[in-house]
Amino acid sequence: MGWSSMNANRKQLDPLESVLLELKDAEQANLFARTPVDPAALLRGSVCEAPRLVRPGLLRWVSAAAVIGLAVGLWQLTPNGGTGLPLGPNQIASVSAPAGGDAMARGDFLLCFSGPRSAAGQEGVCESHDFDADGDVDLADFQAYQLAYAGPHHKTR
Amino acid sequence: MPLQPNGERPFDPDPSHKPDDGFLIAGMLGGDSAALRELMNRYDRLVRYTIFRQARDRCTRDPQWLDSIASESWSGFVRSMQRAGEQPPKSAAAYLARLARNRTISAMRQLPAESDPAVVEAGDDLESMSVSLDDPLSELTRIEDLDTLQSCLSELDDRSRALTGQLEAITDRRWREAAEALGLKESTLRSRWKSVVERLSRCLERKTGKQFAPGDDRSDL
Repeated sequence: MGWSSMNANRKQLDPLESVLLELKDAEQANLFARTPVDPAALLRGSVCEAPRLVRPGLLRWVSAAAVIGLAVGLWQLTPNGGTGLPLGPNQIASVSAPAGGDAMARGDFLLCFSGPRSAAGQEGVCESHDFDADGDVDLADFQAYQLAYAGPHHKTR
Repeated sequence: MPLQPNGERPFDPDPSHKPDDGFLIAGMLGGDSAALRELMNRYDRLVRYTIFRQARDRCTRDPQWLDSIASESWSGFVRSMQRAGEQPPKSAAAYLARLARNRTISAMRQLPAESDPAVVEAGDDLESMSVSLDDPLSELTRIEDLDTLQSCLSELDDRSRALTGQLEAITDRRWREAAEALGLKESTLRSRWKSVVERLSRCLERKTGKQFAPGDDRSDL
C-alpha cells in the first residue's frame, strides 16, 4: 500500500501531503513513544500494562457482589425467604461452617446456592449447607452461613 | 557484540554485530530481560505502527488506548513464546505484526457500542482491517520515513513550519476557502504551500533516496 492510498477518503493529495497527514496523526497518537512495559516484569509474569479505565471483567464481579449484597439487605428487612419464619437462635447457633468457614467452604456454598424452593441436590455436599432444612440452599441459608463465617484464619464457633 | 543491559544502543546496520531474533527469543525464554528489551528496541515501533495503521482514528483520539494494546501485544508475545517452547516463529517481526493486528481487531470489537460516540468511526476502522498486512520490514521503513519527515520539518523556517501546522485547513478545503481562513491571498497560499512541499520532498529524497515528488499542483475540487 503506497502513501497516497493511506488517505483514500481525502481528495487529490500528493504523496508528501499524505505522509504529512499521517505524521500529524502519529504525533497526536504518541506513536513514537515507547510502550510502557517493563521487560523484567513481563518475564516474571507480573505485567504492568498501561492502565485501562474500565475492565469489563472487574465490573462484572462488582455487579455480582452488589446484587448479592442488595439481596441480602432486602432479605434482612423481610420475613425469612417466603416461609415467614425467621431463623431461630437455636438454628443459627447450630450452624457450623464446614472446614472452619474458610474460602474453600464459601466456594462450596456458592456452588450449592440454588435459590428458594429448589432442591438442594448433590446429596452429602449441599445438604450440609441447607441450614434451615427446608430442602433448598437459599438466602436464608446464606445469612446463617454469613453469621458463622469466620474468615480464613479463625476457628469456628 | 555482547548485549548491553540497558539495550539502548542505536540500530546497527551490520548483521554480524547483532544477535538474531532466534537468539534473543531463546535468551528471553531463559529469563534474560535484556534479550526481551533488545527485541522491544527492534520491534516496538512496528507493533505500535501496526496498531496505529489498523485503528488510526481510535489511536489519535486516545493515545492511552494505543499504549494499552501495544502492551497487551508484548505480553501476548511473551506468553506465546513460552508456550511455543523450542519452536519460535521464523520471523519475530511478522509474528509480532500479526499479533498486534489481531489484538487491535479484538479490542475494536469489544468497544462498547452505546457508550462510545465514536462507534461509527470504529466501524470504519474494522472495515479497513480487512486490508492485509504489508511486509513487516517495509512497515519499519515507513516508520523511518515518518521519522525523517519529522527531522525535515525541523529544518524549515518558522513561517513554513507554521504553514504545515495548518495542514488540515489546507488539504481539507478549496484553495480559496483555505486562503480566506488563513487570511492570505489564494495565490500567496498556493505558492507558499508549493514551496513547502517541494522543500520537504527534496529533503526526504535526499535522506531516504525515495521519490516523494509532488504533483504539479493540488486540484481544487
